[in-house]
Amino acid sequence: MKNFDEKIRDKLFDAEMPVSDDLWNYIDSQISNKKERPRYWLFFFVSLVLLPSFYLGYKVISDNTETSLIALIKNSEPDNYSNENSDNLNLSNLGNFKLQLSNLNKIGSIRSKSIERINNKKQGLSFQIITEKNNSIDEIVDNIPSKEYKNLKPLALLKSNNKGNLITTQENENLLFKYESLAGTPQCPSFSGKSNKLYAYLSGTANYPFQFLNDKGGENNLYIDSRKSTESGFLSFSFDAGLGYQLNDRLFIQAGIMYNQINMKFHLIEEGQTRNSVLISRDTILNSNGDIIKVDIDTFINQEVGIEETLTLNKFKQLDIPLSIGYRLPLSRRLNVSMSGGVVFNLKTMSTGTILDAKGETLDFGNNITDGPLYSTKVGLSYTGAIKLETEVYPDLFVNAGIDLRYYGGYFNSIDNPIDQKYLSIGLGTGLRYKF
Amino acid sequence: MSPLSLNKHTENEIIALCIKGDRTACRQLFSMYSGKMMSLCYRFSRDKSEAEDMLQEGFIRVFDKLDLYSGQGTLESWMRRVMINNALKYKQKYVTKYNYSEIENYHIYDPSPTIIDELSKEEIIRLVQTMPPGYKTVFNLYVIEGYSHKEIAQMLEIGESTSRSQLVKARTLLKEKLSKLIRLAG
Repeated sequence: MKNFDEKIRDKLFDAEMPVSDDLWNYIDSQISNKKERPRYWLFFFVSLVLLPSFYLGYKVISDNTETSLIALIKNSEPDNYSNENSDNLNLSNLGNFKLQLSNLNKIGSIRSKSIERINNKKQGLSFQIITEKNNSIDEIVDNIPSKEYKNLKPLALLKSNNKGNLITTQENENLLFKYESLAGTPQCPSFSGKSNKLYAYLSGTANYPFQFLNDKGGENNLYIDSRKSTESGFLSFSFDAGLGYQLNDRLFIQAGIMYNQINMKFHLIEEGQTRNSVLISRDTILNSNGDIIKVDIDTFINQEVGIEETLTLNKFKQLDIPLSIGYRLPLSRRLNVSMSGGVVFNLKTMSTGTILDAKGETLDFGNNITDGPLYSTKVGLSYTGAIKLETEVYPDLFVNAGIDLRYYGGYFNSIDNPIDQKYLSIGLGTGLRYKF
Repeated sequence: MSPLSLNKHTENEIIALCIKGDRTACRQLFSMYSGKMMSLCYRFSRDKSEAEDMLQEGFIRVFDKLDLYSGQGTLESWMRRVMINNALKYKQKYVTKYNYSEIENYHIYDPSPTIIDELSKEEIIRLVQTMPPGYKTVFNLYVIEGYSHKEIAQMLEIGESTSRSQLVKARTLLKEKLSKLIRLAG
């Protein structure tokens, strides 16, 4: 027997067969494609998170190195602002002011504007003007194009530190004194925030879901083990948009609409699977009419044993309404850290995929499967939390990036499904916020 | 160029160039080993077309993983292992669950081993290649590639006893095919 094997091996081990040149051309193209083909989806998600982070990092560094001026400009003729109509006129014209200022020194902007009220009477406009160069307040005022502002007179020139806090100077104290004289009332002016408190937001998160399976009756531990061994988290994501309201300088609430998708990988390797090959022994004979025909003599079924692999992506697609309350803490003049938490109401959940059943067989589930729903279409409340860095990239436009957390309080399984199933997701998110 | 005509230094240089992405070197490596690897793939496949697919996928994998070749053992041995693993994966991916094949009727006859000497390589490859997939996979791995039943059991995720029984059946079938050739020749 060994002789037989050796002779076969000697004949075949070094045997060669001709190969067409076309095969190389295909391989060549595949090698180049593989080396040049980036993972676009990975690049997209990484960019989504990293770019805002880099920008925020850059801002932190630049904020710590620049010298900023904050000027309080008070109208020297407060009577011009004594009627109600002046509100809209003056505030709407601030757009021109900002544009002009920006064109002059490239980096100037107005951080806030408000009507100053003393004894419930409008006394004039105040602005916080930020410049990254040491523009004098006279330079700024001289460049105001609108006639309405020609009579504006600088009342304060305050220097800020790198956290945006005002540093009181002698000059400032003198100017405050002048302000008091002008107003005739011993009240100090304040840098009030923007009067507009409404904002819109848009955000996206790439996250990883952790699945929790619990046995309702305590008799399915083996089944749960089999589920855990075949299901694992996969890259998931969510997008949401909505409106927010600034309750005060730091507190805010917001609500919106969210699309969320939890992805779980189902991977099953079944060993000892059999498949059959059928060998038909056939003979060629002459029949009684003298025709040559083929006749099946014997059928031999060869059974092979191997593995069968099943790989699917289980998807839980959700439409939600998120509500949250948060707190923005200024780290520097342009950088905030925001912490928020809230609840998410699930409107609808659509589930598709494959799991193991209690017998260890694969079981497809989904909206188009008629065997009965395994999963609920409404999963109730979730709880969210986030901590993000935020900076202003353009007047009234903010970009943020940070960590998102969501715990799904409700069970995804239906009542008939004996295994309680819920999730926790942790991810990186980024978004935009625009103040109206 | 035959691989036998290369000294180790030359082959190492080609490998280094391939890892850097040099297409000419890749082409040279392909030319050196494609004939042998095609023969290997053909033995694991159902037909020439499937063998060409296996060869293409196998070489793409070879170039992709070439930086993992440690230099221990010959490149050909390493490449054979990559090709065999690829061929096994290919069959798991693409081969349909049921295969039908026909063989002519014949009388069972134990041929003399000398009959193997009288047959050409192409004729023997053809005989091996026409065996059922399970038979020829174990036969190729054990008899020609020199794997043990334990190794085969791990590679195919089957029991060692299954590997042994498949080998016995494969030998029997191959001898029957040789017998038929003898009968036709006689």
